[in-house]
Amino acid sequence: MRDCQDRWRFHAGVSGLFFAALMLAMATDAQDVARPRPVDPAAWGGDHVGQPFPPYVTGDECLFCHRDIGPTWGDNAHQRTIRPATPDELSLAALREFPRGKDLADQTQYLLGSERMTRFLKRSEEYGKLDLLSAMFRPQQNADVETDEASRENAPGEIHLPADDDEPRWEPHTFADRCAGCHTTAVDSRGKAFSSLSLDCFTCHGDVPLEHTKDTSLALLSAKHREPRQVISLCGQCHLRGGRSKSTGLPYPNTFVAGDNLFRDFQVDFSDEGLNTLPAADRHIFENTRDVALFNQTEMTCLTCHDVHTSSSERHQALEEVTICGSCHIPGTESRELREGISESAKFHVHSRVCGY
Amino acid sequence: MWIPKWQRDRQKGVDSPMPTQPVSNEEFLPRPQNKQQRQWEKLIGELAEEKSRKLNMPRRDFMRSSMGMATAFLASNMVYGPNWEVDAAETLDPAATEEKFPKGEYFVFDVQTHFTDGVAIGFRNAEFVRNMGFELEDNPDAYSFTNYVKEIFFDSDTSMAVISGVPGKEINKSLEGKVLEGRDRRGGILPSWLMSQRKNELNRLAGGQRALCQGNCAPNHYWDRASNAPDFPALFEQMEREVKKYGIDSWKWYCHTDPGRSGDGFRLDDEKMAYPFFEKSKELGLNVFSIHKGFASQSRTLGHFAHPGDVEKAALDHPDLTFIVYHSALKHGPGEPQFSEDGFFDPNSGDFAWHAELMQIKERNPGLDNVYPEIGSSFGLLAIAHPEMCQHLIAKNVKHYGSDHVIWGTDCLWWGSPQWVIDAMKRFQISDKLCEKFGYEKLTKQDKANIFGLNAAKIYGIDVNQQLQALPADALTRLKTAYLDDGGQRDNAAHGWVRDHA
Repeated sequence: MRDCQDRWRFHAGVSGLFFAALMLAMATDAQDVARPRPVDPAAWGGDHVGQPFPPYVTGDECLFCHRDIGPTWGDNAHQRTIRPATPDELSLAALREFPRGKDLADQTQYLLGSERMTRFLKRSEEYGKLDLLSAMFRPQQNADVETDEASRENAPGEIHLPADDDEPRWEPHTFADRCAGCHTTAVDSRGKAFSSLSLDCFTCHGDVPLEHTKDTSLALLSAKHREPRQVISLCGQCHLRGGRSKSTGLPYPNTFVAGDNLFRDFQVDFSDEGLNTLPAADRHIFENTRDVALFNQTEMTCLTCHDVHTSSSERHQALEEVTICGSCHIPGTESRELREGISESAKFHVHSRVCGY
Repeated sequence: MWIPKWQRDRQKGVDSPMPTQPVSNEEFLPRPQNKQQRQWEKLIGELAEEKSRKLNMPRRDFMRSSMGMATAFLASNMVYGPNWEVDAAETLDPAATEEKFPKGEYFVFDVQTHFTDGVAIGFRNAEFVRNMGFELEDNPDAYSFTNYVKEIFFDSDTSMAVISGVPGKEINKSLEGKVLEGRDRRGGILPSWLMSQRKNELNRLAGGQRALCQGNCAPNHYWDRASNAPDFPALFEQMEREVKKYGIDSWKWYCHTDPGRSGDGFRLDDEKMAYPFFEKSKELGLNVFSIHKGFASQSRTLGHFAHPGDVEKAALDHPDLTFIVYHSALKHGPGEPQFSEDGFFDPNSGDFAWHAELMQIKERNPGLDNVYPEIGSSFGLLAIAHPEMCQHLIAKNVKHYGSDHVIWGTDCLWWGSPQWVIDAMKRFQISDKLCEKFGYEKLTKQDKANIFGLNAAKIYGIDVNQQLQALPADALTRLKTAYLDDGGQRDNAAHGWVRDHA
């Protein structure tokens, strides 16, 4: 195992280049004159880059005790990053109607996505791998109607094939190369194999020792343990879309364990130019992360507004207006009017090249 | 506004030895009491006031006595119907209860008891436990082995207990290849090595056999990622350790958990995963498999593996093995929102989710003799939350599997001392209405004796007569006597958070 001190130097060296470029980009921006001097986001904490994941306690063991979470977790978006393919899904019905689709629908074991597209998956023979069907289901967009998760997952639509495909086929590598890091848990970056489907407790809480029952501060994200830089790192491992691991080149982090410093290996463009190209939903994440990672802002993190276990962001409506609200709301307006293009129905409109929409 | 339940109870003059409503764990808003729960609680308060005054004793002391317990059952009958065998005389005279339910009438052998490795896990403070009416501390001491001995053996009629496993796997070796021992093996909140250690301590202390223990090892605990299959050498090594070194008496399986990070759960009828385990276990001379089924929300993605559908083939293919189906495959507990959803319970058939499938297995295979429904948590929690469902649970288990196949378990000390569950079973009866409508039989004393302990004794090869002769003289009984003589008793203070206006 590499010596810790050497590791720090190595990462500090690599991140230094990235950091210098970032500072240069930001210094040229006239808006940044009043900003405090940015700090090196990679300069704190540690990482597990290139190491095996620790033998963490799995979610099924956690839920044995945390029985208040289990009954609602099944419907939680973080749990449904991969979901079992139930026969009554409209996407599967559409696939069955597609040429050669019946067999493919029968082979499909899991589904990914809902609102913009649904992808079809089946288990590979290999450990921790899923095959992704090249064909996808695109639901009809109905921008005027607010829908819940269940309705979105079962909206009518049709099957699309990529332009260069004649017929649907199972792809063995796409999921591992692009999706696994954020739709499954503990992806070994060497073999790109995950250890469990969708997001296990480990993804956000890390390797929690048994002793957390006596001292809850040992559990990351407990009320006593919400260090802002750790929070934006662990949320950012998936929500900073467009970032890339320096060491693997993959669009997801290399062996990130909640509690680590994400930015020791994960490259993200925090420049104003970069942020200005993002849709509002992504932009507010980048802005808040940048505030914490580069400017040591500690008052607001993702958890200030979002409650993951209850799938709620209601708390953000009770907050006093701060700069980040301007991503979606017009500052100073009495009823917090939404900006043009951020209608109620499309407020979470997002794009992602990695995700294919 | 939320207030502690004990505080509200004190304000309202309620001090119930039985839970009268579900309460919140502070993460969600507590559900208000329904009309029946309010009625029940009010009646308990009124009756207790009246009777304790008549006896000239403090009400709190009254509620801690057998008279208080009888009062709670009586009030329940007045609200929910005649579900419990209780006479008004028992609310004023402990002798009436003693006469009706003589001490030692039943040999109580609880196959589902737990403690932890010194960690508090929140159960004794959980949503539907908060209103248990007992002084349920939720700290490491409350979950300790010491308190386990007190609550299981001193505070209740339990004579024998199986220390029952929970999800978790031991690590065989360090990264350097050194075989680990004791705490270094980890294994979760109640690892196999600890169950074994405490079983031996308890039996040594008693000077006889009071405790048995289970082993947590299961087919998906050691996984070979290269072949994407069980790592049988590592698995068999652990099995041998648990049987030969730990002296376990049964396996405890959670098919819907994946502590080995295999990527999936497993089915009992999986010929590639479970069957090699069965064969190895037979070779080691251990034939009892205790399987958690039901309570599916305890898994993040693998809850479907808690369905009992895989019991049938496994049991038919292995008539020489015994399969104890824990929780009788009750899919959702009363504390879960799905419990109240349409389709979970059908009052017209008395069927409820997953338990019905367990019953159908026996219907399809009348000759199947090696499957035993166990009633830990299912009976106790339904007794409180849904007495009618509780009757269907027991009546159907007995109707389909026979009273000689229903196994007593309580899941305590998760829910405090099991005495309240024991009292509930003593007083439990199937109503005339349900017997008539569904063709159930009334439970006889012999049925209850079977359920309370004779069935489990048969499975584990315990000579009950010999035990009954040995128990009065063993050290644990002497300690219990001294504890009771010293005024030791269960606590009944209610905890939890409810709406102050509920």
